[in-house]
Amino acid sequence: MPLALPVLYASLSWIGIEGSGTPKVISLPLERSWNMLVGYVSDERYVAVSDVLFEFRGPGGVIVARSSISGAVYADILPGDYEVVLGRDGYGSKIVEVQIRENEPHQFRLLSDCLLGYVWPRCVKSGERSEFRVHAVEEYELELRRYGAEKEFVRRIGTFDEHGPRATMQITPDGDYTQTGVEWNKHGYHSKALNQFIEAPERSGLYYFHARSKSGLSFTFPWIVAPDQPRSKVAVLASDINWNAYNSFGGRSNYINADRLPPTPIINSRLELKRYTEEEHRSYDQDTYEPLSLERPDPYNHIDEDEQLTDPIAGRQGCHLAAAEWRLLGWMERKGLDYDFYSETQFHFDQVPLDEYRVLIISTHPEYWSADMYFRLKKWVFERGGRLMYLGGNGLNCEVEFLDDHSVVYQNTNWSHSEPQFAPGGREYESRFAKRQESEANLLGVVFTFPGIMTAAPYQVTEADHWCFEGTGLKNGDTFGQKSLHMRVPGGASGHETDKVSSSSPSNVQVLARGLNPDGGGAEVVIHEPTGGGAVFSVGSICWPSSVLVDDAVSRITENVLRRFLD
Amino acid sequence: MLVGYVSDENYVAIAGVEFGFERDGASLTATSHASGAVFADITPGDWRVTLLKSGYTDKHVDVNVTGSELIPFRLLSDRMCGFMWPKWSRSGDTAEYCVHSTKEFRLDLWRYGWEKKFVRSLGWCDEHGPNAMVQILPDCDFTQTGVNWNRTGYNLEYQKHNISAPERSGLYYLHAKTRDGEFCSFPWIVSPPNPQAKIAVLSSTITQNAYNGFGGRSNYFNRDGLPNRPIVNSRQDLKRYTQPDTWPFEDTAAPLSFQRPEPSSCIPEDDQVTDTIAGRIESVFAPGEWRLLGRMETARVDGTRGIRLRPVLRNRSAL
Repeated sequence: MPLALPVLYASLSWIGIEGSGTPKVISLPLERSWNMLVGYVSDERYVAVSDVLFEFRGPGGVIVARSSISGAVYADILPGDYEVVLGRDGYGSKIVEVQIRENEPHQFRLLSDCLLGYVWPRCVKSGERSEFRVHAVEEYELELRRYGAEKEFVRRIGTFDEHGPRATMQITPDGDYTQTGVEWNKHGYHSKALNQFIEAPERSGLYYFHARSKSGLSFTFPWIVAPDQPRSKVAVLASDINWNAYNSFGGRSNYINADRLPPTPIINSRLELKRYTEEEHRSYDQDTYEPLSLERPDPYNHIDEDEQLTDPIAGRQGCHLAAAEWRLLGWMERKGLDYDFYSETQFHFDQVPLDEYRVLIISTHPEYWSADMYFRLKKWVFERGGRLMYLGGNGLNCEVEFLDDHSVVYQNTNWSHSEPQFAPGGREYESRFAKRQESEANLLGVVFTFPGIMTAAPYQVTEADHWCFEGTGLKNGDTFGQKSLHMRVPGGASGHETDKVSSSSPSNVQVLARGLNPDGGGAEVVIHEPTGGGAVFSVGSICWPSSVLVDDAVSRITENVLRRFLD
Repeated sequence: MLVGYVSDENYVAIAGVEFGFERDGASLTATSHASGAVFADITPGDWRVTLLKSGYTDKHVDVNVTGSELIPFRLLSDRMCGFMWPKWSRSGDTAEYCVHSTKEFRLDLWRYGWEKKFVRSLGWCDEHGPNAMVQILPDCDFTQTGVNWNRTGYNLEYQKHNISAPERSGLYYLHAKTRDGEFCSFPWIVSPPNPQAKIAVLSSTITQNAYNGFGGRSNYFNRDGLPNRPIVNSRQDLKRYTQPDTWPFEDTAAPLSFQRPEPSSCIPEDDQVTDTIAGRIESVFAPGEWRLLGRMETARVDGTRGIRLRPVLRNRSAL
């Protein structure tokens, strides 16, 4: 492209002052007078960005334009192929090839100046390699730590910068990259000498990258390292499919714009998102949903550098995502309870050799599972003596489907959590999973219901003679689980979202304790033991893992069950 | 056409606000002047107007532009603030916290007696939508009507911000703090369901409301209503300064709503009861009253270390 090109200014107008002092819009005569809506420009949250400068380089020369207040880009150009340069202070400039079409606005995306990162693949086996992908507009340091009983320093990875100006800045693709992934390190990362791959450590566990910029910004992001072969009799799954459901990077999660991005970017959430504007908001009002890619940074899983294992969990999202799961892992290590760590995604892709394990633990908020995962686990429990500890709430509530290794479709169906949903024959569906497969209560013994949501309370013992209460000193009617690190919904171990026994629960399910949440919303601690040696222990509460480090009874019950299941 | 003026929560003119006017697929832009005036090349009728300026909450509004009635556009600055509504409750009653924040924040409840006593945490507050914890100012003189926070986009029942008043009477404070340390606090007066002591202490809420200038009016400036144009410079625009010897400057007084944040009631996080009271006007507000309550509690004036607060609720028109 030649450097010197004729320039036509698009949308030229300004306010001038006439003799009377009254401002008036004056339009300049242009050689051409059509003004086409080329597209919209938005940031990584799909929030409109105004005042972005555009250069459209085409066969006829260069046209310049500026985004309007709604992020709309009007330019005095004809449809066709263009090289488009866009930029604004506070965002990374970029160059894209775009085919401009009438009545098909293009979605330009810019990435704000900040510190972010993720590692890809996010889940690997020991010895496998992942690539860290960091977005920074200044030099940054990177360290690797293992999150167990402590935040254990593993190694310094290095200090990163490049010769080119702002060369550690990433580029977000145009369009809806919540579906396709952000593909960082794709542009300009060809040098083998400067590759950003790292080999997974030998020891399985939850690892975190700590990035710290020269000006003091900090960002941390998780890495799940599974063993190359089983080392323990206990496997713990990270709920990474659920993490992804809540991750709104790019402007979509399973909670905002769940089906797809709207045609125009957001200006004010409370005025525009259906989640806030609809008087009778159904969580999910579509039959189909576009996928959400795992290949995105996940700011909700950032854990502050100075947050320690027994600290209250900072932030609203950490209380049901990786930060809360870390509390369970740390507790296990402090108790000397070995485990192998995997992700749900690895389980879906059949990389968890279930039969090598005695106990599988799922925790905190494992809401989204594939049918393959569910039925494989159910067979293991019911037919091969597997023992499941479900230490979470609202688990296995909705089916997901993988389109490839990173694109996940959340099959919400047309669904409302707060209203009953009926099958054609009049039978009530207990969950989104039940609507497509069967009620998860068949396996877990409990299923999420709406009462109790966003409340927290202690549990009350109903079967004090059960072996799980050994050593607690609890009697029927006593309460436990008052203490919690869960700072989003403080108040006890039964809470945030809670599960209860249903008509689909196995007939031999035994209720051991029940949360004292209002409106009958308390989680139910249950156990059922199918013939053949299998067993399922469920606590039905997202808050449980946030209590295990600080509440003696919750700790003792969890340890009793795990040691018994290992027998 | 002069469409209106744009001002912040203090009715101070904001220059450089970008405006987008949309109707029937047509779109025009304008930028506010130094006086906050918004001139646009539009015709009268219904328009969707989008307002944007860095440092303020973006919003859009549907307006009917007449050409004769100027629209008082209002934008809320990014500074965190909040209030309880109602600002006074009986023990066991519920009240709603209304907080404006551009970031997620932790909200804790404290009781202010001789010491600041932590009562409980209400957790971390945020929402899935981008910037969904910011509030929206109505385009009007909301000093008369109230700010109506938590009313736009708060449809999900389980996410309403209601909390139950503690059992013990007293002066309570909500502490809101973001991860990066931005802090604000606001009071909540809790009276007993039944008298528990022989002494009743009244919080001077009516006086505090009289002095609260949030929105651009108090009983001490713009008493009869907001002027037609927002303030550029107080000393040049307010009668309090231009006609200093004629107070009260107006013969009539428009109402002042309690339903507004009260920035002068904010007590810095580290302030203790025996510290000197920071700020000029804070001594009139809850920070000043807290000193008396604290002294009573340490002196065991009522013999039970408990006091009873009973705010007097007067009809707004009494103002």
